[in-house]
Amino acid sequence: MSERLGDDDLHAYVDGLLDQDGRDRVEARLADNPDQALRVRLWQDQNDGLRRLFDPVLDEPIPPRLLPAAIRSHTWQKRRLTALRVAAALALVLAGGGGGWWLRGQSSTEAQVAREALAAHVVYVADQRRPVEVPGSERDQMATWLSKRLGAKMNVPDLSASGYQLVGGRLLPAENGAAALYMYENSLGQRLTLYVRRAPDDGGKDLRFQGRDGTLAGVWTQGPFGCALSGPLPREDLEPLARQVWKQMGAARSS
Amino acid sequence: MADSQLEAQIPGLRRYARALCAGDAALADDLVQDCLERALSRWQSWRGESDLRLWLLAILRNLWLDEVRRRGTRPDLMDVDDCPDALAVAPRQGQALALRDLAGALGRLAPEQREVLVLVGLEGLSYAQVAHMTGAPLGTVMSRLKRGRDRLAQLMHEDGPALRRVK
Repeated sequence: MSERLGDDDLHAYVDGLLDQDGRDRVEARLADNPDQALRVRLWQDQNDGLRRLFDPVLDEPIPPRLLPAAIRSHTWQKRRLTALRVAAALALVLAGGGGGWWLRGQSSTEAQVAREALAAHVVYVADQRRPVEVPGSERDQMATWLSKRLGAKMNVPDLSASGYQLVGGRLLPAENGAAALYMYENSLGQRLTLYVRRAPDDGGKDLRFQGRDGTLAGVWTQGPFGCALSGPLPREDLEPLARQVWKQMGAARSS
Repeated sequence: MADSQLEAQIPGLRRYARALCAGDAALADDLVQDCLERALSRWQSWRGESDLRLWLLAILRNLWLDEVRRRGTRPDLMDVDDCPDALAVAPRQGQALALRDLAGALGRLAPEQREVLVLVGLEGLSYAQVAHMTGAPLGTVMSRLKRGRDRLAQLMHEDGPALRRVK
């Protein structure tokens, strides 16, 4: 009965996550342990305080602008704003200088690919209605078409294991010819884009990151391509996804 | 059908957003609006498979995180005095002050600690549900919870030792 209870048990007790048996054991323990009882009381007060502070919001009348009918009719107004928002976001993402993630010791190719990729990301991710030219359901035809336009075989990476489904792709102009842009989206509506164009091989350097204002691109060169995966993610979340893409694109080339 | 299901979730979403934003009602409602827009445009991807409330909480959480990153503000640098008057909800003065302290302290917690405290303490999610929603391992969730609670107690103590107990 008086076996040592871990902190996890005490927190679970406070949060109502224990069954009756667990609660009994914790309470017996606390009765002999004023120090622990005090800490538990403090945590209970914190939970109580959160509820007292924020539960009254539940009884507030819903502001009319938040009702679903209003949201539906506001959507067009928001689209008008989109042009301005995109311009502002572009300026922020592409602006040089402080505050952002910038490539250190990068090749100018990588920096250029990153800039193009971030611009394409910001412009097309904002488009709710027509973010892509070719839907993800036509993956194979899209891969054939875009490989032809870029002049080298390219597979379309699959990120579904990480929760991102292929929305589709499109062809874009790049500094040196054509570029492919693939878009992915998770069930929460977060979008990633993969930007691919031909670029001189920089000798297999590692992933590098560029971007700011909440949008980051992971950039690398691979075979004939410069690639960038962009999204609204912190570096630690974006990096494993970029590595998956890198691996899958490499597998496609050798096959 | 989507509209009535969504509408029933709005008060809960507003409460969650208000807590994540540590009482900033205008920002919180903007996030709720963005969340509902996103939910309406992604209704097909939800398809009733998972718990609607958890799906909406997760969408809102991501929008909030985007906002935190966009602002680039470390919450511990936020001005506690920005804590709005709407928080003075309690009838007794001492209690109102203590609650205001709590809101101020919440706003100074690191975002990852604040969200765990809110999801667990206010939204009643299990530790496993929080781990799933935040994509963090269970051990990380537990350590954020413990550190968050310690830090919150410390912040309230700094703000006014006499008021650190909410009750």
